[in-house]
Amino acid sequence: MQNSRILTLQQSVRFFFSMLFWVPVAAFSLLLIYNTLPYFSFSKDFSFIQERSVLFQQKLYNASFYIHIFAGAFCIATALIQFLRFILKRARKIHIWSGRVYVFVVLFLGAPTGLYMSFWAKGSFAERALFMFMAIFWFITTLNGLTTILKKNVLAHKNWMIRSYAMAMTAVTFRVYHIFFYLMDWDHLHNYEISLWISVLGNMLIAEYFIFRRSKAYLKTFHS
Amino acid sequence: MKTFLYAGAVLMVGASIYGFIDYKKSTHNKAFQNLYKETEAVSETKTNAQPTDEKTVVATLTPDAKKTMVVKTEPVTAEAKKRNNEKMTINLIEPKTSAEIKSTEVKLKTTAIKKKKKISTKLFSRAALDERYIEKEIIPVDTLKHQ
Repeated sequence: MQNSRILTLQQSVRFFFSMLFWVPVAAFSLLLIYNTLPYFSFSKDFSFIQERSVLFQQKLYNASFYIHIFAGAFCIATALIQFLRFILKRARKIHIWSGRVYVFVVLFLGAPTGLYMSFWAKGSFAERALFMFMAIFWFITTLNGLTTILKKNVLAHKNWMIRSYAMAMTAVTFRVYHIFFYLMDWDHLHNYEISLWISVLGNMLIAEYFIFRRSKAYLKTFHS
Repeated sequence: MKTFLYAGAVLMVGASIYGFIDYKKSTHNKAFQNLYKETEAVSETKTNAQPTDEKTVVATLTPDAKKTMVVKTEPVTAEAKKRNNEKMTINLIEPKTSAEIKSTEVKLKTTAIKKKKKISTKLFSRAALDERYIEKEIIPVDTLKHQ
Protein backbone atom coordinates (compact mmCIF):
# COMPACT_ATOMS: atom_id res chain seq x y z
CA MET A 1 0.00 0.00 0.00
CA GLN A 2 1.25 3.43 -0.89
CA ASN A 3 1.89 6.14 1.62
CA SER A 4 -0.89 8.75 1.71
CA ARG A 5 1.69 11.53 1.37
CA ILE A 6 3.02 9.98 -1.83
CA LEU A 7 -0.55 9.69 -3.14
CA THR A 8 -1.22 13.36 -2.36
CA LEU A 9 2.01 14.34 -4.09
CA GLN A 10 1.11 12.25 -7.14
CA GLN A 11 -2.33 13.84 -7.28
CA SER A 12 -0.96 17.37 -7.03
CA VAL A 13 1.66 16.67 -9.73
CA ARG A 14 -1.09 15.25 -11.98
CA PHE A 15 -3.25 18.31 -11.27
CA PHE A 16 -0.34 20.63 -12.07
CA PHE A 17 0.33 18.97 -15.42
CA SER A 18 -3.34 18.91 -16.36
CA MET A 19 -3.50 22.64 -15.61
CA LEU A 20 -0.36 23.18 -17.66
CA PHE A 21 -2.27 21.70 -20.57
CA TRP A 22 -5.79 23.03 -19.99
CA VAL A 23 -5.06 26.63 -19.00
CA PRO A 24 -3.39 27.57 -22.34
CA VAL A 25 -5.97 25.50 -24.25
CA ALA A 26 -8.83 27.37 -22.58
CA ALA A 27 -7.11 30.75 -22.92
CA PHE A 28 -6.36 30.33 -26.62
CA SER A 29 -9.83 28.95 -27.27
CA LEU A 30 -11.43 31.95 -25.63
CA LEU A 31 -9.12 34.27 -27.57
CA LEU A 32 -10.21 32.62 -30.82
CA ILE A 33 -13.87 33.09 -29.91
CA TYR A 34 -13.18 36.70 -28.93
CA ASN A 35 -11.48 37.36 -32.28
CA THR A 36 -14.34 35.69 -34.18
CA LEU A 37 -17.02 37.93 -32.70
CA PRO A 38 -16.18 41.09 -34.76
CA TYR A 39 -16.86 39.10 -37.97
CA PHE A 40 -20.54 39.05 -37.05
CA SER A 41 -20.73 42.78 -37.70
CA PHE A 42 -20.75 41.48 -41.34
CA SER A 43 -18.28 44.19 -42.25
CA LYS A 44 -15.84 43.41 -45.05
CA ASP A 45 -13.03 45.33 -43.41
CA PHE A 46 -11.06 42.28 -42.29
CA SER A 47 -7.84 41.24 -43.99
CA PHE A 48 -9.06 37.63 -44.16
CA ILE A 49 -12.15 38.75 -46.13
CA GLN A 50 -10.27 41.34 -48.18
CA GLU A 51 -7.79 38.84 -49.59
CA ARG A 52 -10.75 36.62 -50.57
CA SER A 53 -12.97 39.46 -51.79
CA VAL A 54 -13.71 37.63 -55.07
CA LEU A 55 -14.88 34.57 -53.19
CA PHE A 56 -17.10 36.59 -50.90
CA GLN A 57 -19.08 37.78 -53.90
CA GLN A 58 -20.42 34.24 -54.16
CA LYS A 59 -23.50 33.97 -51.98
CA LEU A 60 -22.92 30.34 -51.04
CA TYR A 61 -19.31 30.95 -50.03
CA ASN A 62 -20.31 34.02 -48.05
CA ALA A 63 -23.01 32.10 -46.19
CA SER A 64 -20.70 29.11 -45.66
CA PHE A 65 -18.04 31.33 -44.14
CA TYR A 66 -20.34 32.88 -41.54
CA ILE A 67 -21.93 29.52 -40.71
CA HIS A 68 -18.49 27.93 -40.42
CA ILE A 69 -17.05 30.54 -38.07
CA PHE A 70 -20.18 30.42 -35.93
CA ALA A 71 -19.99 26.61 -35.83
CA GLY A 72 -16.27 26.64 -35.08
CA ALA A 73 -16.55 29.11 -32.21
CA PHE A 74 -19.56 27.26 -30.82
CA CYS A 75 -17.85 23.86 -31.01
CA ILE A 76 -14.72 25.09 -29.29
CA ALA A 77 -16.77 26.70 -26.53
CA THR A 78 -18.98 23.64 -25.93
CA ALA A 79 -16.05 21.22 -26.16
CA LEU A 80 -14.35 23.05 -23.30
CA ILE A 81 -17.33 22.19 -21.08
CA GLN A 82 -17.42 18.60 -22.32
CA PHE A 83 -14.04 17.66 -20.91
CA LEU A 84 -14.57 19.20 -17.47
CA ARG A 85 -14.42 16.38 -14.92
CA PHE A 86 -16.84 18.20 -12.62
CA ILE A 87 -19.53 18.30 -15.30
CA LEU A 88 -18.85 14.73 -16.39
CA LYS A 89 -19.36 13.45 -12.85
CA ARG A 90 -21.85 15.77 -11.22
CA ALA A 91 -23.82 17.47 -13.97
CA ARG A 92 -24.22 14.78 -16.59
CA LYS A 93 -27.28 16.48 -18.11
CA ILE A 94 -25.17 19.48 -19.08
CA HIS A 95 -22.68 17.12 -20.72
CA ILE A 96 -25.42 15.32 -22.63
CA TRP A 97 -27.12 18.47 -23.89
CA SER A 98 -23.99 20.36 -24.82
CA GLY A 99 -22.78 17.16 -26.50
CA ARG A 100 -25.95 17.01 -28.57
CA VAL A 101 -25.49 20.62 -29.59
CA TYR A 102 -21.82 19.96 -30.46
CA VAL A 103 -22.71 16.96 -32.62
CA PHE A 104 -25.51 18.83 -34.37
CA VAL A 105 -23.29 21.84 -35.08
CA VAL A 106 -20.43 19.70 -36.42
CA LEU A 107 -22.51 17.36 -38.57
CA PHE A 108 -24.89 19.91 -40.04
CA LEU A 109 -22.97 23.18 -40.01
CA GLY A 110 -19.22 23.03 -39.35
CA ALA A 111 -18.09 20.07 -41.42
CA PRO A 112 -20.23 20.59 -44.58
CA THR A 113 -19.39 24.31 -44.79
CA GLY A 114 -15.72 23.54 -44.15
CA LEU A 115 -15.76 20.98 -46.93
CA TYR A 116 -17.37 23.43 -49.35
CA MET A 117 -14.88 26.18 -48.53
CA SER A 118 -11.88 23.84 -48.74
CA PHE A 119 -12.02 23.96 -52.55
CA TRP A 120 -10.75 27.55 -52.45
CA ALA A 121 -8.39 27.23 -49.50
CA LYS A 122 -5.12 29.13 -49.55
CA GLY A 123 -2.05 27.21 -50.61
CA SER A 124 -1.36 24.48 -53.11
CA PHE A 125 -3.43 21.41 -53.97
CA ALA A 126 -1.97 19.61 -50.94
CA GLU A 127 -3.33 22.24 -48.55
CA ARG A 128 -6.76 22.10 -50.17
CA ALA A 129 -6.73 18.33 -49.87
CA LEU A 130 -5.73 18.70 -46.23
CA PHE A 131 -8.69 21.02 -45.56
CA MET A 132 -10.98 18.49 -47.24
CA PHE A 133 -9.52 15.71 -45.13
CA MET A 134 -10.03 17.79 -42.00
CA ALA A 135 -13.70 18.37 -42.77
CA ILE A 136 -14.33 14.69 -43.56
CA PHE A 137 -12.32 13.44 -40.58
CA TRP A 138 -14.10 15.87 -38.25
CA PHE A 139 -17.45 14.63 -39.54
CA ILE A 140 -16.55 10.92 -39.24
CA THR A 141 -15.01 11.14 -35.77
CA THR A 142 -17.99 13.10 -34.43
CA LEU A 143 -20.41 10.67 -36.04
CA ASN A 144 -18.56 7.71 -34.52
CA GLY A 145 -18.58 9.46 -31.15
CA LEU A 146 -22.34 9.74 -31.38
CA THR A 147 -23.02 6.19 -32.56
CA THR A 148 -20.74 4.64 -29.92
CA ILE A 149 -22.47 6.44 -27.04
CA LEU A 150 -25.84 5.40 -28.44
CA LYS A 151 -24.54 1.81 -28.16
CA LYS A 152 -23.44 2.61 -24.56
CA ASN A 153 -19.77 2.09 -25.44
CA VAL A 154 -18.34 4.85 -23.27
CA LEU A 155 -14.67 4.07 -23.84
CA ALA A 156 -14.96 4.18 -27.62
CA HIS A 157 -17.13 7.33 -27.32
CA LYS A 158 -14.37 9.07 -25.35
CA ASN A 159 -11.74 8.07 -27.87
CA TRP A 160 -13.74 9.29 -30.88
CA MET A 161 -14.61 12.52 -29.14
CA ILE A 162 -10.96 13.18 -28.32
CA ARG A 163 -10.21 12.80 -32.04
CA SER A 164 -13.10 15.08 -32.95
CA TYR A 165 -11.97 17.71 -30.46
CA ALA A 166 -8.42 17.48 -31.82
CA MET A 167 -9.76 18.38 -35.26
CA ALA A 168 -11.78 21.28 -33.90
CA MET A 169 -8.70 22.54 -32.07
CA THR A 170 -6.63 22.77 -35.26
CA ALA A 171 -8.15 26.25 -35.62
CA VAL A 172 -6.49 27.21 -32.33
CA THR A 173 -3.15 25.44 -32.74
CA PHE A 174 -2.79 26.75 -36.30
CA ARG A 175 -2.90 30.30 -34.98
CA VAL A 176 -0.32 29.57 -32.31
CA TYR A 177 2.15 28.16 -34.86
CA HIS A 178 1.28 30.98 -37.26
CA ILE A 179 2.32 33.61 -34.72
CA PHE A 180 5.40 31.64 -33.73
CA PHE A 181 6.69 31.37 -37.31
CA TYR A 182 5.70 34.97 -37.98
CA LEU A 183 7.97 36.06 -35.13
CA MET A 184 10.69 33.93 -36.70
CA ASP A 185 10.39 36.10 -39.85
CA TRP A 186 8.99 33.41 -42.11
CA ASP A 187 7.18 34.67 -45.18
CA HIS A 188 3.43 34.42 -44.98
CA LEU A 189 2.70 31.68 -47.50
CA HIS A 190 5.28 29.23 -46.16
CA ASN A 191 4.26 30.10 -42.64
CA TYR A 192 0.62 29.43 -43.52
CA GLU A 193 1.30 26.08 -45.16
CA ILE A 194 3.65 24.73 -42.52
CA SER A 195 1.47 25.93 -39.63
CA LEU A 196 -1.45 24.15 -41.23
CA TRP A 197 0.34 20.83 -41.63
CA ILE A 198 1.87 20.92 -38.18
CA SER A 199 -1.41 21.83 -36.54
CA VAL A 200 -3.36 19.01 -38.22
CA LEU A 201 -0.75 16.28 -37.90
CA GLY A 202 0.38 17.48 -34.47
CA ASN A 203 -3.15 17.50 -33.08
CA MET A 204 -3.83 14.04 -34.48
CA LEU A 205 -0.67 12.69 -32.87
CA ILE A 206 -1.47 14.33 -29.54
CA ALA A 207 -4.98 12.88 -29.64
CA GLU A 208 -3.62 9.39 -30.41
CA TYR A 209 -1.13 9.74 -27.57
CA PHE A 210 -3.93 10.57 -25.11
CA ILE A 211 -6.00 7.67 -26.40
CA PHE A 212 -3.02 5.31 -26.12
CA ARG A 213 -2.37 6.40 -22.54
CA ARG A 214 -6.01 5.91 -21.59
CA SER A 215 -6.16 2.54 -23.31
CA LYS A 216 -2.99 1.41 -21.53
CA ALA A 217 -4.56 2.18 -18.17
CA TYR A 218 -7.75 0.40 -19.26
CA LEU A 219 -5.91 -2.70 -20.53
CA LYS A 220 -3.94 -2.92 -17.28
CA THR A 221 -7.21 -3.59 -15.44
CA PHE A 222 -7.50 -6.93 -17.26
CA HIS A 223 -4.12 -8.12 -16.00
CA SER A 224 -4.61 -7.18 -12.37
CA MET B 1 -31.87 8.89 -35.36
CA LYS B 2 -30.87 7.32 -38.63
CA THR B 3 -32.60 10.05 -40.63
CA PHE B 4 -30.55 12.53 -38.66
CA LEU B 5 -27.33 10.83 -39.69
CA TYR B 6 -28.44 10.47 -43.30
CA ALA B 7 -29.23 14.18 -43.39
CA GLY B 8 -25.68 14.94 -42.24
CA ALA B 9 -24.20 12.61 -44.83
CA VAL B 10 -26.36 14.14 -47.58
CA LEU B 11 -25.14 17.59 -46.54
CA MET B 12 -21.52 16.46 -46.78
CA VAL B 13 -22.03 14.90 -50.19
CA GLY B 14 -23.93 17.98 -51.34
CA ALA B 15 -21.17 20.28 -50.11
CA SER B 16 -18.52 18.30 -51.96
CA ILE B 17 -20.53 18.20 -55.21
CA TYR B 18 -21.49 21.89 -55.04
CA GLY B 19 -17.95 22.78 -54.09
CA PHE B 20 -16.48 20.84 -56.96
CA ILE B 21 -18.92 22.29 -59.53
CA ASP B 22 -18.42 25.87 -58.28
CA TYR B 23 -14.67 25.36 -58.19
CA LYS B 24 -14.65 24.10 -61.77
CA LYS B 25 -16.71 27.10 -62.86
CA SER B 26 -14.42 29.52 -61.07
CA THR B 27 -11.24 28.12 -62.62
CA HIS B 28 -12.23 29.74 -65.93
CA ASN B 29 -12.65 33.12 -64.23
CA LYS B 30 -9.55 35.36 -64.32
CA ALA B 31 -10.36 36.97 -60.98
CA PHE B 32 -10.27 33.55 -59.32
CA GLN B 33 -7.02 32.64 -61.00
CA ASN B 34 -5.38 35.67 -59.38
CA LEU B 35 -6.78 34.84 -55.97
CA TYR B 36 -4.13 35.12 -53.21
CA LYS B 37 -1.57 36.35 -55.78
CA GLU B 38 -1.49 39.83 -54.30
CA THR B 39 -0.74 38.56 -50.82
CA GLU B 40 2.15 36.50 -52.14
CA ALA B 41 3.69 39.66 -53.60
CA VAL B 42 3.27 41.46 -50.28
CA SER B 43 4.99 38.67 -48.40
CA GLU B 44 7.89 38.75 -50.86
CA THR B 45 8.49 42.47 -50.36
CA LYS B 46 8.24 41.94 -46.64
CA THR B 47 11.06 39.43 -46.68
CA ASN B 48 13.21 41.80 -48.70
CA ALA B 49 12.97 44.38 -45.94
CA GLN B 50 14.59 42.12 -43.39
CA PRO B 51 17.30 43.55 -41.16
CA THR B 52 20.77 43.48 -42.65
CA ASP B 53 24.09 44.75 -41.47
CA GLU B 54 24.67 48.31 -40.41
CA LYS B 55 28.08 49.84 -40.83
CA THR B 56 29.25 52.13 -38.11
CA VAL B 57 32.52 53.64 -39.05
CA VAL B 58 34.83 54.62 -36.24
CA ALA B 59 37.89 56.59 -37.13
CA THR B 60 40.67 56.70 -34.59
CA LEU B 61 43.25 59.44 -34.72
CA THR B 62 46.53 58.93 -33.05
CA PRO B 63 48.81 61.83 -32.22
CA ASP B 64 50.96 60.85 -35.15
CA ALA B 65 47.95 61.36 -37.43
CA LYS B 66 47.79 57.66 -38.12
CA LYS B 67 44.21 56.80 -39.20
CA THR B 68 42.70 53.42 -38.55
CA MET B 69 39.17 52.38 -39.50
CA VAL B 70 37.11 50.01 -37.37
CA VAL B 71 33.92 48.59 -38.79
CA LYS B 72 31.28 47.30 -36.38
CA THR B 73 28.21 45.37 -37.51
CA GLU B 74 24.75 45.85 -35.99
CA PRO B 75 21.28 45.04 -37.45
CA VAL B 76 19.51 47.65 -39.57
CA THR B 77 17.23 47.55 -42.63
CA ALA B 78 18.54 47.36 -46.18
CA GLU B 79 16.71 50.58 -46.97
CA ALA B 80 18.43 52.49 -44.20
CA LYS B 81 21.75 51.03 -45.22
CA LYS B 82 21.31 52.33 -48.76
CA ARG B 83 20.41 55.79 -47.50
CA ASN B 84 23.35 55.84 -45.14
CA ASN B 85 25.79 54.87 -47.83
CA GLU B 86 24.74 57.87 -49.92
CA LYS B 87 25.31 60.37 -47.11
CA MET B 88 28.48 58.83 -45.78
CA THR B 89 30.98 61.50 -44.79
CA ILE B 90 33.82 61.19 -42.39
CA ASN B 91 34.55 64.21 -40.27
CA LEU B 92 37.79 63.75 -38.54
CA ILE B 93 38.43 65.82 -35.48
CA GLU B 94 41.95 66.91 -35.25
CA PRO B 95 43.43 66.78 -31.78
CA LYS B 96 44.51 70.16 -30.48
CA THR B 97 47.63 68.88 -28.95
CA SER B 98 49.07 65.45 -29.15
CA ALA B 99 49.43 65.24 -25.40
CA GLU B 100 45.81 66.32 -24.74
CA ILE B 101 44.03 63.72 -26.81
CA LYS B 102 45.56 60.40 -27.57
CA SER B 103 42.83 59.13 -29.85
CA THR B 104 39.44 60.33 -31.05
CA GLU B 105 36.54 58.18 -32.21
CA VAL B 106 34.08 59.68 -34.61
CA LYS B 107 30.87 57.91 -35.42
CA LEU B 108 29.02 58.76 -38.60
CA LYS B 109 25.58 60.30 -38.49
CA THR B 110 23.27 57.37 -39.08
CA THR B 111 19.56 56.84 -38.75
CA ALA B 112 18.65 53.23 -38.30
CA ILE B 113 15.08 51.99 -38.75
CA LYS B 114 14.40 48.94 -36.71
CA LYS B 115 11.31 46.84 -37.30
CA LYS B 116 9.97 45.75 -33.99
CA LYS B 117 7.24 43.11 -34.04
CA LYS B 118 4.50 43.81 -31.59
CA ILE B 119 2.47 40.86 -30.32
CA SER B 120 -1.20 41.68 -30.46
CA THR B 121 -4.28 39.57 -29.79
CA LYS B 122 -5.31 40.44 -33.37
CA LEU B 123 -2.40 38.35 -34.62
CA PHE B 124 -4.35 35.30 -33.51
CA SER B 125 -5.91 34.94 -36.93
CA ARG B 126 -5.78 32.90 -40.12
CA ALA B 127 -5.35 36.09 -42.12
CA ALA B 128 -2.01 37.36 -43.40
CA LEU B 129 -0.12 38.99 -40.57
CA ASP B 130 0.54 42.21 -42.40
CA GLU B 131 2.50 45.38 -41.79
CA ARG B 132 -0.10 46.99 -39.58
CA TYR B 133 1.17 44.95 -36.64
CA ILE B 134 4.78 45.94 -37.19
CA GLU B 135 5.84 48.91 -35.21
CA LYS B 136 8.55 51.04 -36.79
CA GLU B 137 11.02 52.48 -34.40
CA ILE B 138 13.45 55.20 -35.56
CA ILE B 139 16.70 55.21 -33.65
CA PRO B 140 19.08 58.07 -34.44
CA VAL B 141 22.67 57.07 -33.93
CA ASP B 142 24.41 60.35 -33.51
CA THR B 143 26.96 59.94 -30.82
CA LEU B 144 30.38 61.38 -30.54
CA LYS B 145 32.82 59.68 -28.30
CA HIS B 146 35.89 61.38 -26.97
CA GLN B 147 38.48 59.35 -25.30
